[in-house]
Amino acid sequence: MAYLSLQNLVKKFQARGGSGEVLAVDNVSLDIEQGEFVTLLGPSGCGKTTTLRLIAGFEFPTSGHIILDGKDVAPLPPDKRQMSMVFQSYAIFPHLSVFENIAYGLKIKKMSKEDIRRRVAQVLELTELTGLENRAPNQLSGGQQQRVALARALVMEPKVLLLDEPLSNLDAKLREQMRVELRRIQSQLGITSVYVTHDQVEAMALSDKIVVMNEGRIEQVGRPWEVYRHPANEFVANFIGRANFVDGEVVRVEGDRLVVRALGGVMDIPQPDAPRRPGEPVRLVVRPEAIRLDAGAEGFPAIVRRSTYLGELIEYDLEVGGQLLIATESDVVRAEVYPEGKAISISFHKNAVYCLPK
Amino acid sequence: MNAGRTNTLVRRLREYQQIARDPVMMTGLLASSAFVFFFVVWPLLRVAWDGFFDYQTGAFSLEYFGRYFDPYFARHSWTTLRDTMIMGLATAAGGTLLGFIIAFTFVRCNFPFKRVSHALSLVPTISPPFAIAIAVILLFGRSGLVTHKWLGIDFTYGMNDIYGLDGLVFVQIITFFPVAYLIIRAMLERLDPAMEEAAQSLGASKLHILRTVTLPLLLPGFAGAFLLLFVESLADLGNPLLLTGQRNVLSTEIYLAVNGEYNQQKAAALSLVLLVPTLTVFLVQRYWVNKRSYVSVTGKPTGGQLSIKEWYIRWPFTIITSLTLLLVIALYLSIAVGSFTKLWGIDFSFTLDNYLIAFHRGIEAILDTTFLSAVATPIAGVLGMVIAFLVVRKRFSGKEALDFVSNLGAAVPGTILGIGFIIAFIDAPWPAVMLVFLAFLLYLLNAVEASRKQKLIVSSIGIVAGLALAWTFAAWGAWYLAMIGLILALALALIAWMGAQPSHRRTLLWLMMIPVVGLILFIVGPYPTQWVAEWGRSLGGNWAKIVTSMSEWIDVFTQVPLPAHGFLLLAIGGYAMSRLKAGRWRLAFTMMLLGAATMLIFTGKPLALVGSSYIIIAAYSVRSLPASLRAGVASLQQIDPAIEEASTSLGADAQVTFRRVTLPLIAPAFLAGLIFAFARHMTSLSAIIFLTTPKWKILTVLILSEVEQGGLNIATAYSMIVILIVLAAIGLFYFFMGRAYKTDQVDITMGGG
Amino acid sequence: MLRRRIFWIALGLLLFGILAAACAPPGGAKKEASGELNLLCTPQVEWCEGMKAEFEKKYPNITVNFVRMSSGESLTRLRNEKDNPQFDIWWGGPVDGQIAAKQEGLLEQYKTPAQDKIINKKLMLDPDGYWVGVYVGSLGFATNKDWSEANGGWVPKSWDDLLDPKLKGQLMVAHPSSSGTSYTALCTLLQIKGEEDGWKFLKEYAGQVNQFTKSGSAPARFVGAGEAAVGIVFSHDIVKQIEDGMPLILSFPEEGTGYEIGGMGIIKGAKNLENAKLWYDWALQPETQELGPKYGAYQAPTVEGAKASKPELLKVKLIDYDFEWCGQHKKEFVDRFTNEIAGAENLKK
Repeated sequence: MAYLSLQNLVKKFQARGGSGEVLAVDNVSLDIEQGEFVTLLGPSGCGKTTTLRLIAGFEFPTSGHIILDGKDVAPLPPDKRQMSMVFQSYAIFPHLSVFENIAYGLKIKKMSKEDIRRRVAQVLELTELTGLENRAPNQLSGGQQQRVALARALVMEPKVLLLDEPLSNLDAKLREQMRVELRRIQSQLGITSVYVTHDQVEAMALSDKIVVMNEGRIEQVGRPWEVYRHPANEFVANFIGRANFVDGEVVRVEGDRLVVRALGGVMDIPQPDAPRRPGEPVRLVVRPEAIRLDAGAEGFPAIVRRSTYLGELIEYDLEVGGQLLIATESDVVRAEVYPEGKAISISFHKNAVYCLPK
Repeated sequence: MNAGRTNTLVRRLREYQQIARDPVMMTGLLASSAFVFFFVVWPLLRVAWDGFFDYQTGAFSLEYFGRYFDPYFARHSWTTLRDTMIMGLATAAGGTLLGFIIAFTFVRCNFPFKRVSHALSLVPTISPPFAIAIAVILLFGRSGLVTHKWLGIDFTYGMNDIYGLDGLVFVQIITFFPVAYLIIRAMLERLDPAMEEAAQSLGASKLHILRTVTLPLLLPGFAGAFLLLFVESLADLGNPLLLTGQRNVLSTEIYLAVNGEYNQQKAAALSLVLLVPTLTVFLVQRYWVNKRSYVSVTGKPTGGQLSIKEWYIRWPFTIITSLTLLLVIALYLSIAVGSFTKLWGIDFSFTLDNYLIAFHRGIEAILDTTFLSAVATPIAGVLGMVIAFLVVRKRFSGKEALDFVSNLGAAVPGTILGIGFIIAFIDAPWPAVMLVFLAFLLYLLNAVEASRKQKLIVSSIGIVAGLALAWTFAAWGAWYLAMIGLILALALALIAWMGAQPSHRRTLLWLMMIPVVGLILFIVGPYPTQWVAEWGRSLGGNWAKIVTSMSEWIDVFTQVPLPAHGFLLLAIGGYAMSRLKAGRWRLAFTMMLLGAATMLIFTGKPLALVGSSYIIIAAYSVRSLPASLRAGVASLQQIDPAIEEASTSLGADAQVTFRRVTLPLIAPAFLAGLIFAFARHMTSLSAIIFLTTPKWKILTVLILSEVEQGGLNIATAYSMIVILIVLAAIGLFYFFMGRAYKTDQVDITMGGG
Repeated sequence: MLRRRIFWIALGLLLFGILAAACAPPGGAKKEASGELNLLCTPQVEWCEGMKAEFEKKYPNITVNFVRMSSGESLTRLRNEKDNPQFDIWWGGPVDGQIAAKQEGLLEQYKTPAQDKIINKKLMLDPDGYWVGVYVGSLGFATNKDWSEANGGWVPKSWDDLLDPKLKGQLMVAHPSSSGTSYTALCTLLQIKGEEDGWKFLKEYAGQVNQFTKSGSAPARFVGAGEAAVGIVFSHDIVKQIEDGMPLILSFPEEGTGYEIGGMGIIKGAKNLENAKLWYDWALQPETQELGPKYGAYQAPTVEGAKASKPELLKVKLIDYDFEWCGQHKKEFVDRFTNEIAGAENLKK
């Protein structure tokens, strides 16, 4: 039995203006193991924040169950669920000092002063806030405030740590730093964590498991590499990284590989989990980095329609077999940047083209 | 179709059940709704109702509405209506204009002595509503200082003197411009200067910017101020009573209908007529003006105000502003001086007699008014906060209605509310009492968690027993009933103690002690107060009055009418229910509770409050509730809701969150609101004027009566006393809070006069 | 342990409660002449205060609470409160107020030997014993001294003089709906001139009025302050103002003037009935009736043996004022006045 289990969660809201209902969470089921770091990833409005709030208890599910450590958590109000939350806006109490903010929940638990001091000191060290105990929140930088919010949640030693886009208000460099910090702290403490974000890079960097959501439904659950390399559908493929979609037809099966006719040529790709038979139409996901730009004679003829120099990468728009594909190549591969109009020949990395499930 | 309807019904019930999960919230909701229902909704409904029934025969009659169409009366009726509208529109226009000029001058034109000037422009809001009228008569009347003595004008008939609509409008503009000033100033400060800077960079001159950018952006503020002033003007009673001359306006007509012609139907009918424009304005303001605001009202004023240096703008504005401020100073100075003058206009010799007489005659009124204002202040403040919290943080059907109705208390003219109070509470308002009782009953039964049959049986037994007790012992008097109530309450406490969930035993016991203590006070209270009163009487003179007043004050706290004890019992019992072990304990508790509460509530004439201090306290609270409510709403809206959720996720339940997080953050606005409430109470006239009793005298009514009898000098002394008391309160507040007279979060624009 | 404690506390409270019940509830056993008296007082407030002080001197255990309200207001209050009266006794104010109150069943009947001493039982005593007269006063004109001098020493000497063009906008009188004084004047005019001509006259005279005040005696003060030239007020009020230093001249109309009898009646359902009766009897004692001048009240007494302070005020020509008629028609006349005259267009021209 999973540590935290969401079973057929449904949440409907009354639409603004009174007409009808909005289905925010549509039959979501999810199992999370103890100590796992799970990210709910998706575009805005996909239901990820609502799901998080359902877990926390700030929203009441229209139907479905939330089981934590074997017990149904639904009758419990948020203050009794032993989960703590880090909010997007940090929500630090402006009238309390850093120390008092962090100690807040411990005081409610009626811990002794000594224990409180000890625990707070520990977590201050963990989040590298030592020395700032007596500051007022408005004297802290954004990054420091974020860490205070995190510390305040961590010090409770919750069963589940919930994080609602906690890094989105930080600038890019700080965000990267905090990401690393977060992951370090979480794995050190081993707290089961549910994280919400729309930034797929963040999701990939932090998570044990990614839950891709769209319009209230789960599109795919998997480890980062699973979700990237074997997207369950076009939405996931498009949302995580970039994808070219190519239609083709199976020519023949060769062991654990498929020979597929596409783009005016023939390519050989790995067999998907559900085997295909000759003659079946397939839809292929081709990541830009899967395209090799120096194929020689057996490759697919292509014409460079546009090239953009991005420093680390060069991005090409290629016309191949009547279709426009985006390809990227690391800058260090060749000195030349193919100009517009150049005719080249391309091929695909053997294991990098994936066949979408039916 | 049916499915849809049952669905919404179910949803609504679910919402209430959600709130009911939090018993303190539910109790708060019930208590505040009950208060607002009793003291705002019910009186207004009664007024509306009574306008249609002949007060002597009880027959349905449209007589007073018909008067607008009956040729015999029509001229008078329409003239009055017309004059009322003219007065309102003129005051609104003039006041808004003046308010704008002053706001603009202060904010943009580098006017010196900023804080003093700001305070000065707010003085009219803390003085009795007709202080300005008195001052104007002193200075500009027929034998006024300026007009008669200095300018030597001899007023013969036909000359335009201060009496009449023009004088009245003049006085009202001075009285009400601070309201417009505050609103427009707040808007000006929140205007994004970037817009005007952009216009400048496009080549527009300051005047052009003023005309094409600033003024249009301020339009919602103007509209809001205009509408507000219109309503205040229509609701004003004190100034028209002194200055209309022979013209009549609706507010004085209503007043005369009650106090002069003893014709309730006419008063109610006219009140309805007056209600139409005021309610319309209120609705327009709420739903149209506020939505069209181009300026973000949340948050602090943005810095960086453009400052105007062009002389052709600066000078006219500054001159008008200075003149106005000088006028305000002069008016209040004349009141101050007048209070020390023997006979203004004839004998200007210095005397302290006015004050001596004022203290001798009015010591009771001074003490009583201050006491009642003070008692009503925390009531309005707390209620405002509770309702603000419910309205901002919770979702439930009827939330809009609660908000709307709570604001109604100050939106309707005070006279109407006053009449409503007399009509509604001269006798027990049975329908209202039943309704509220029913609501509490439903809440209780919902918390019991037993089968429907059990609930029915238990509640029937309880109610019937209670009624039986009430009727059997009715003749013995309230004191004996309180004794019985005490015994029952003690029994209840015992049941609670025995049937409580173990962890909550202590709290439950303390909670159940509250009604017990209340009843004990009721029973025991009269003994010491009687003794004090007798001792006081023996002192004679002013001391007798002071001491007997104090004994009456103690009575206000101990002799709360039994029905209030009954409702309190229900409220506390409802909360206690959730902490009891389910099953038989809850049933027994419910039965006993209903028995005790029913007996207490339905004895005698529940809520027949006319003549008591409670009706005055209620009237005060209802009038200042909206300001407190709005302050609460504004400050709550400025708190990131995530902060309260954070507290919850850290393990704090709703009460702890409210206490430790919400309350400290809204405390400043709350406290500022208290001071304004007190000032409002002290200067309230129109709502109170029908409610004074021999035991409870109100200062503002006394002032009016003095002026009416021609004793202007003593009236000025009284006015000074009121002003000084309010200033003292503000000073105390400042001293303890160390804060300036903060007005940015408190809405003092409604409910004056 | 806590349980035990609670038990003992509960028991203790119960015992205490029973003990307390054994003694009389508060106010149960009243000592002789104690408690409160709620007085509805219509004459000027100084006299009200004086009467209160004197009464309390005589009965030191009674606290008198009074509210001063003009006659019309008083009647309204009594009407409004008839199910739950806040007042015990109504003292003062023109007696047609009390007559109207009796008609509406708002007064309590009370027969007492003190009533035997009334001077003129026909006029000053209700045969059924619901009301009694406590003072008498005549209507007069108050003229501002300075204005009079500026006009060659002219003072109005008759009712018709009030229509003099000199007085346009300079007349001050109370509104008959709230003021007994003004209603007396109104009814006087109707009796002198007959109803039809009377209303015509009233319309014209209203055109001379500056402002209708609420209180009957206010015009004297306003006239004294110079806000108007002439006021119609009871002569005793005018005299008081003159004694206070107001520059006023008193005159009387030669056609005959109206007068008021100040009335008194116990309120039906009075909460302090016994104290009300005490006041009633006390008010009819000659010594009490002579207290007036001490407090600036120069009305004439109604009881044998009491000396009038300013007997000349009653030696003028008084009309045969029909109190019953005036009392019965009060609502009708006041209504008519309000609708046809006060507020009508012809007032400000």
